[in-house]
Amino acid sequence: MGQSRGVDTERELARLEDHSRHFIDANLLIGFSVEWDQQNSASKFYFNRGSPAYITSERVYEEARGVVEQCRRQTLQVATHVAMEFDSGLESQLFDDIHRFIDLHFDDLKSPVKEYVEYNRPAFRTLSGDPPEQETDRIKSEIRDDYKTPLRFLAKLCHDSDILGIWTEAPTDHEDIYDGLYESLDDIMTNKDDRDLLLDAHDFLVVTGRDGLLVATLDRSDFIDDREALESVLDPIEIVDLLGLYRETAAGQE
Amino acid sequence: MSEPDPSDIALYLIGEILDDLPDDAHLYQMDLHKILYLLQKRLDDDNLVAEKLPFYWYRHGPVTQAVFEASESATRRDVAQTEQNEQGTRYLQGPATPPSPSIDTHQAALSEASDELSEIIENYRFYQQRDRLLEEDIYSDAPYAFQPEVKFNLLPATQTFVDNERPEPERLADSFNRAESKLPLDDSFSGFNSEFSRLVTLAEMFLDDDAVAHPLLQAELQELVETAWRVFSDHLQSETADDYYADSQQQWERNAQQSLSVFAQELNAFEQRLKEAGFFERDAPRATEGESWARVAESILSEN
Repeated sequence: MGQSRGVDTERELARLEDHSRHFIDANLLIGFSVEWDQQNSASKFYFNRGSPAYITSERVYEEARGVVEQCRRQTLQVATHVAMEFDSGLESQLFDDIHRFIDLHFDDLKSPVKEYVEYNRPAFRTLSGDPPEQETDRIKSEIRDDYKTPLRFLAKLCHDSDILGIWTEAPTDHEDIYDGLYESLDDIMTNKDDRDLLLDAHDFLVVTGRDGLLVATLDRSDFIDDREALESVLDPIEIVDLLGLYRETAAGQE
Repeated sequence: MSEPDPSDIALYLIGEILDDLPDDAHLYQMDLHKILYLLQKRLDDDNLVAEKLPFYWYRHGPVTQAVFEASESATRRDVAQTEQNEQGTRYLQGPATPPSPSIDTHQAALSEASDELSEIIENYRFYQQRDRLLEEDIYSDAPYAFQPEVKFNLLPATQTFVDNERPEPERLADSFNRAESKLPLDDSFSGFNSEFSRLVTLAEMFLDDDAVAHPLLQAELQELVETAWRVFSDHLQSETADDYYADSQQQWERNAQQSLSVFAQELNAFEQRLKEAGFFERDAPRATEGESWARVAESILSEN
């Protein structure tokens, strides 16, 4: 193995094995709600490697749930507008129009909603044909049911502390309690949700008196690009480049 | 000549309405808002009376400050007599005649308004089916499809669910689903939309399981739906009011933020009670390859 394309796989693997407690990001919670197939399964790659104690904060858990709820809401909003305002015409035109509608009206999570629309094309084609209200409602119920799986799974995860510990003691606003650390992280990170995740992890470490903690994330741009600077501020917390590790090891073998 | 005050115009029109009121009929303040809203709809945009009734949408439909002020003034000046009952203040005709507003140069506008008003009163449903009038003639103009969906579907469905000896949780779950699908797309409602989606998730979790056996949680869910409507209306007020209400906007926005924050706390409390009652323990399999959520989740992860 060794270093390749900027990923020191031995170093990343050592990080995973050296830490018995992992503080996990929302993207892993979302990925974990799927029994992944072999393709692009960075989440499965991580969860199959070992059994550390998994911890996250209430804030991160809420973020994961909020993402699923936002995807469901946006998909349903698209369904309503297709039923009310779109005409069934050329199929390619219809789906181009739906994608444009998504780009125009939503700020984020556009790709997942488009992915759902593509997955369920027949439903959106039916909606564009001015179906009776009952049929529109049936399709909307189908959409709701498709999003139940992750929401149920997240609810179950949060209930069972043997699978996932949720740190509920972290302050809502870290600025007053960890002012120096807060400012340092704020200077490094543009994504404020990610800054707060690291502060939650730090709070967990301080309050429980642990001697180390690994932050596990699939987000390279916000955590890994500035990892050295972040770790020097957060010492002894370490961050693992899961996506890089996955791409260099498991993905290459598929 | 200075511009007439909207509340003076509204006072004059309230006098006309009460004068035309059929025998034994009565009005509540909300009826005054509705009748003047219907009047505004009928008048040309450049009619002075129409211009001077600045409506915004709130919990019970379109309202205007002019009617709030004029209905008080009508009682004070004996243009109206009032009676209190359980539903609110009833307005009946009083002994005094309201002064004609100082719009001499626009007398034609006032006459046109008076004529239209007589016709509206003639067709107004004083005795029954006021909700139908509200739905068909007024809420058809609502700026957001979410408004009639909640007012005429979700709120009554929740009430029926709580009152019914054989409640049908699936029907109520469908009502929540329809309401979520009609949430506004405007960014200004994004905070409310997130909390409402959270309510939908909790409601579905409750309704999919043994909701029928938990009357206290049913009642709590009903209160949450009513709170959601109030919180939405607080935002709606700011979004639909024009410049006439510029002085009130800041306070309204503060109130809306505050009510949203209280709503979020109430949702936390409801979630906690659902957990304590065992609603989070239900088995939940993961999505498998090819299922919709697997595809959506893959897309979310690749966005990182």
